[in-house]
Amino acid sequence: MADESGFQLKRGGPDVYELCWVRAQMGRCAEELVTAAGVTRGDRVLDIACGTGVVARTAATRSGTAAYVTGTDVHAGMLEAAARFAAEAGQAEIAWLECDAAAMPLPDDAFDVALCQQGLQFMPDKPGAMAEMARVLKPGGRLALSVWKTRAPIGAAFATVLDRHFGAGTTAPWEMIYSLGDRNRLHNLAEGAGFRDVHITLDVKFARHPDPEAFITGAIAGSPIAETMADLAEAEHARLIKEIVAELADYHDDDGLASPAQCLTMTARK
Amino acid sequence: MTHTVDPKLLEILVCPLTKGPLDYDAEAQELISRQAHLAYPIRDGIPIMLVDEARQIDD
Repeated sequence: MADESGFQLKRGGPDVYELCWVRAQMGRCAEELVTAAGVTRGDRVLDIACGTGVVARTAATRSGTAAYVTGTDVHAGMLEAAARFAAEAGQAEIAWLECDAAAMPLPDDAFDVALCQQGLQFMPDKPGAMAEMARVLKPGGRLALSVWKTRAPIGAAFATVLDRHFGAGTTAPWEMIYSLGDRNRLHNLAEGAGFRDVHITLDVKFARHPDPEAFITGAIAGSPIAETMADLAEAEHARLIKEIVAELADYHDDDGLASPAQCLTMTARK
Repeated sequence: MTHTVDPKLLEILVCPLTKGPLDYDAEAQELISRQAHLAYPIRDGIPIMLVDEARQIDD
């Protein structure tokens, strides 16, 4: 989840992102996206904006053929981490590729499935990226793509506390996270790229973590404000983390943090 | 950990600009697009297929 448009995770981000967001939320989201795409045995799968690679790994587990799975991202640090995590998971055969989603170095009609989890909203050329996804899919190939619909309580808690502490507008760039939560725009993008059977569903994905303070600390460390936060005195850092967790008081259950986020998932066929 | 580029990936990769073929230079760890006059680097086994990162080839 990073791109050339300014929302980049800082150094060390990929490992923190994997431990924090993938464990709490994106891992289950990946399972659901792979299910939505109907990945089956032997499918050739492309994961666009793969980040630390959880969707590619999940697809490889489901298809049984890691060698037919390719992950792409524009962020070298994410790909290095993705290759490492895949190797640790026994899926070293997944291929990784640094490229622009709107200019992919892949041939026409090459993949059965294209997946893009929480990536399209960060891409500067969305029509170009959709056209490329259509181009590289085989006729009849399946697309499954997800974007956040609205700001989640976690985002609101970050904005409240961090804008109060660091000044209004501090978290404004994070609004890109849910900037494409519009069903009509998604339909237009997909249909404009020639996709058919475009179908969008709304559901809620939970971020769950047994230790809310550890989760928020990790989420901050993997965020664009990581370095600013890291420069704070220990006591001040801890106080801000506690304030963010306090803002999320309504989003806990007996297992710890349980914070919802509305998500749009689009499926389509070439 | 030394990484080598995935041979299956090499077989299918095309130039992102021209969608034309690429020549693999194993020694230089580059993928050459003759049509685009560009050499794309391979770092730690990961092809960097960005025009901004490619080396211009004069001929």
